[in-house]
Amino acid sequence: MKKALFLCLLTLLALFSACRPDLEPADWQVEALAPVLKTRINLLDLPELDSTVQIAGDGQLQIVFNESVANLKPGEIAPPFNEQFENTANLQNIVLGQRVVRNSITLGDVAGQLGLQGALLVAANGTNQVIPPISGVGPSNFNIDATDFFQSITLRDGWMVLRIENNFPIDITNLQYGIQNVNAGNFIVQNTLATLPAGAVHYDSVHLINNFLIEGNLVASLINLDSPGSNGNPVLIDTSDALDLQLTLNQLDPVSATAVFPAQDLFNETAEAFIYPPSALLTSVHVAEGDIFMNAFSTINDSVNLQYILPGAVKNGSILQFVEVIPAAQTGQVINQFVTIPVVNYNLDLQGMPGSSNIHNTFYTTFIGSIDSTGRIINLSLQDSVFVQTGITNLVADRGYGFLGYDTISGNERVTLDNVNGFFDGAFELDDVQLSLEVKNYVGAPFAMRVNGLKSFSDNETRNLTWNQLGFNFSVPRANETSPGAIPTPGILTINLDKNSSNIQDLVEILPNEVEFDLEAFMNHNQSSADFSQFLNTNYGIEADLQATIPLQIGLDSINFQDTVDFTYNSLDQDWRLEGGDLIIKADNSFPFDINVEIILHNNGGVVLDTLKASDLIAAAPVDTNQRSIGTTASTIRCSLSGSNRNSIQNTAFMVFKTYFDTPDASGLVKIYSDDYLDLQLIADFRLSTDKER
Amino acid sequence: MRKLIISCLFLFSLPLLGQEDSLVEFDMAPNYKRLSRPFLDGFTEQGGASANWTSQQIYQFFYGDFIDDALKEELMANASNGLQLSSMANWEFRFCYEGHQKSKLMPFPTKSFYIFNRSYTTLSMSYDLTRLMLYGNRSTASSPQDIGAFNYQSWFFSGLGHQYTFLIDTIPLSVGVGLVAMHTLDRHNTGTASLTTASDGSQIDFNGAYDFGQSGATSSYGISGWGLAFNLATAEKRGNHELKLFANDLGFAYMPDWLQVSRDSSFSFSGLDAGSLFTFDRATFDGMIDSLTDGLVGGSREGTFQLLPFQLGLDYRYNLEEAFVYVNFDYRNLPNYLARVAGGYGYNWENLRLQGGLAYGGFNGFSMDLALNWKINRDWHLRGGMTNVFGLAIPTWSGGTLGSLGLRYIL
Repeated sequence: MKKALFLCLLTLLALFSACRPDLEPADWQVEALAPVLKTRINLLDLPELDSTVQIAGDGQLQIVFNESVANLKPGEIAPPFNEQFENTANLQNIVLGQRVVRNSITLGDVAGQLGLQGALLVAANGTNQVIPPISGVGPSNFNIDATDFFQSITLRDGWMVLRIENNFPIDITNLQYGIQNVNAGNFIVQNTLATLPAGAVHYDSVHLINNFLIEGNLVASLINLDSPGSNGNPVLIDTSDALDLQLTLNQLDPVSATAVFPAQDLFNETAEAFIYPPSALLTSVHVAEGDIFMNAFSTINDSVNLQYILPGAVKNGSILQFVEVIPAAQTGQVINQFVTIPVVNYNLDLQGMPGSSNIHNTFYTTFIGSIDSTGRIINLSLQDSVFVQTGITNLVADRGYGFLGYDTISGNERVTLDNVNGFFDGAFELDDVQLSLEVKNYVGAPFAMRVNGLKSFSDNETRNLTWNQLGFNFSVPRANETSPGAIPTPGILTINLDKNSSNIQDLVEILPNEVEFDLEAFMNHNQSSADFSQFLNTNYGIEADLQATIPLQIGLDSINFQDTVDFTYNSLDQDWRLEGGDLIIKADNSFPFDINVEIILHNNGGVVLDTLKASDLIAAAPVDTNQRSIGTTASTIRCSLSGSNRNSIQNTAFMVFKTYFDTPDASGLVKIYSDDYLDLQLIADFRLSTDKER
Repeated sequence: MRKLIISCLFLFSLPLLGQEDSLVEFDMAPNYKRLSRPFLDGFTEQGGASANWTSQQIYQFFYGDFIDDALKEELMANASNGLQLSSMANWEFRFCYEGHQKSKLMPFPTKSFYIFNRSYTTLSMSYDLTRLMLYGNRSTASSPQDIGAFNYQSWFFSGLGHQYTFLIDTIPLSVGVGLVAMHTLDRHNTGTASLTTASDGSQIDFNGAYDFGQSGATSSYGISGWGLAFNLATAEKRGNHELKLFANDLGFAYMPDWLQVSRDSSFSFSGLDAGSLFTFDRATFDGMIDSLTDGLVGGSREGTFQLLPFQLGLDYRYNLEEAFVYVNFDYRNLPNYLARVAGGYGYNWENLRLQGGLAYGGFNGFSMDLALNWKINRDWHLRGGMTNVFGLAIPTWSGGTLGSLGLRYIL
């Protein structure tokens, strides 16, 4: 029971905390008078004009427009360049080189076949003895091993030269010898030499034709050898003295070979390529992008080195080249290899091969295919080959040097003037408007520039330029490039228009929101001789800027300045307490204009709900004899927020503040200075309900 | 039937009956033979009062539809020395679960749990500030307005306590200890201060000092702080003399997130300075409002102890054969509450006691009190009272009434 009651007490306590009596007093109205906001209007603070309003030396404001009206960039220096080359190398191109094999038959070898006489000779080694006549030495065979160079070669043509040098201390007579293949057994050479004096050399050559086979394993046969001895004279007996044999295979034209091939170029070709700029004679270009490629097919049983070179393409001091190795193909197989190398930021010389003169738009390539001497025995036949395609694809230049040729650029540009568009509306009267067209030429060739027409457009009106220089060719100097690829220093032409030479003031006074230029530019106009110092950078062309300087000495007739702001009523009056009243605007005006304020209320759909109009003008400041304002004029105006106005403002989604400027009739054209301002203070004089309306 | 009657009495007697909140409103705890019986007791104290406005004006101000200019003039006429408005709404429920054998010496419940909820709002303003409130500042533009001596307090707290009564020799002492949950507390006041609006509204000048204090809710149950409240009571009866002393809500609350703003300066406001209109944007505007708000009422939050609005009381009664005379003294620690002295006459019937008298102080000044104590039957006791009967009986003459009602069920 106690617990239950205690829980009841706790429950009541919890209820208490949420049950405070909340008194809501009755509703009544109060009249509140309070400053809300103060602000200053100075034309220098206009965000739309902050870059265009400048202060002249005497403090007078002037509007300076600088609008880009043309930006003509060259499309390309030449069409993208593509070129392809093909090279084939086969066994006919392959050089086997000269193969030399040596062997010796020593005096000791000969003595071994002479029985006792031979034994005496060996015993006398190192002494001076008389050697008696020798006869009938042989037959005997000596192996000649050339397999380090080849295992077999089948020749369409070639030569084998046998060199025999007698280094015995005695003459040799009736020397019968031969060289034969070991396996085939046929003699390659077989001969008899009647005499070969001591120290003499004999050559014997054989023309090897008609698919003649030479094996790596050869046998030198000594069929017979005689000697008259030392003719009774003692001679130094040295059993290491030898009859030296040297077998040379030369000028080989093989049908097939299983051999070690010497290092050699399979092909080494140089070719020219041409780019085709429309009328330019270029000495070099800067390559922005492109590729070179190689597509190789090889049946050669050895690795092949392929080297592709553009000698005229240089980047950071290095020429453009690459080496690709095609691995050895298995017998009867084909190896294919495809390689692409990007070409970016290379300077490519277009003056042809070294030593050429008066050549343009031309570059050349070198392609070398080679094999290294690997020491490995490989097999090649007439059917073996290496086939290579090389080439250049989509080579695009972004800078060109040389004579740029002749070209005409036409421009009919219509440009929106954002700075004033939609900002002012009304009638202006201006004085001393100056307008200039500044042409900047970033091309390294001179132009002739012609203005054919200029129109200004406002919402309601179009005006054409009348000017005594229309259709006249103005010279635009060429640009200079301080370093390759840097932004060129432009050649500048400034064309001035003022009220004395044209009706430009009329074109400006309609507050144009667009202007249209009709321009033509001629490159190398009247340039008869080629100037090879010219250049073109595709990133930079010809720019034209319209500059206007308008000193603010103006007469205004209901010139309308307007600005739009979003508005949410209940963010200011969350409880909808406003019953009515006035919004008081207290102004101190140092501008020489009367100012009328109007606030247009729009709902979410953009429909105009109402217009809050001020009760009076904000009066202009007086002006002195120089048409400059003196001091300020204080005004107090009211906007009523009663009745329907109040309902409208409560449903407003955005407001358009329209301010009408008028020059008092007595003032004439007045000047605006940087220290002119309009101070506004917003004061609420409201009747408010203390109760929430909604 | 009995319950229905009691319920009707409870509902309809609220505005008619009243008595100052006290733990000694009954002479003695109810007895059963020699034991005090347990009981359930509910008590509420409600009302509003003003020393300046009449009951009718208070009613029109709080419950009317619209205050027109005629009524404003009447309200201002009665607030020529300023305006004081006060209200309270208190509830208390008590469960006495044990009595005492020596009941004649123990006029208080022996052991009981109780919960309570207090709401006090007091407001005092100068004449000028009252006029600014009712008319706005337009009509007094260019004249300095005295907005000093403004004071506003709003208390709202609840508690849960236990009361124990014991004897020291023959003197009973009743001690209650309650845990207080502070819901909200606002304390605002100005020192000497004036406000001047320029005649064209271009500038508002303030000169003076003000303090602004506000609790911040620190839990999702709307509790901004905790505290302790003690109830103390004693009574003595000698012959025909009876004396009772009591203190309620004697304690404090600690609020860890208390916002305190103190300013003593003068400043002029001529509108938010937006600088250049052309560079002005909404974010800047909101930032300026925040800055202005921070400058006016921005302050730091830190823990603070606040003394609770306690009540001190003294009741003296001289008993005659069937009647009695009494003198009461009462003080509440609230602005606008003058120490209150009351004196009067009462008569005892078998089951009913009525008393009435005159008083000075409290929220009203001079007033007339009425109270009753009715033993409906053995189980149900009703008590009620009203201060300033004139506020109800002659609402166009006196300002406001505090009514109280208690109902006890003997278990």
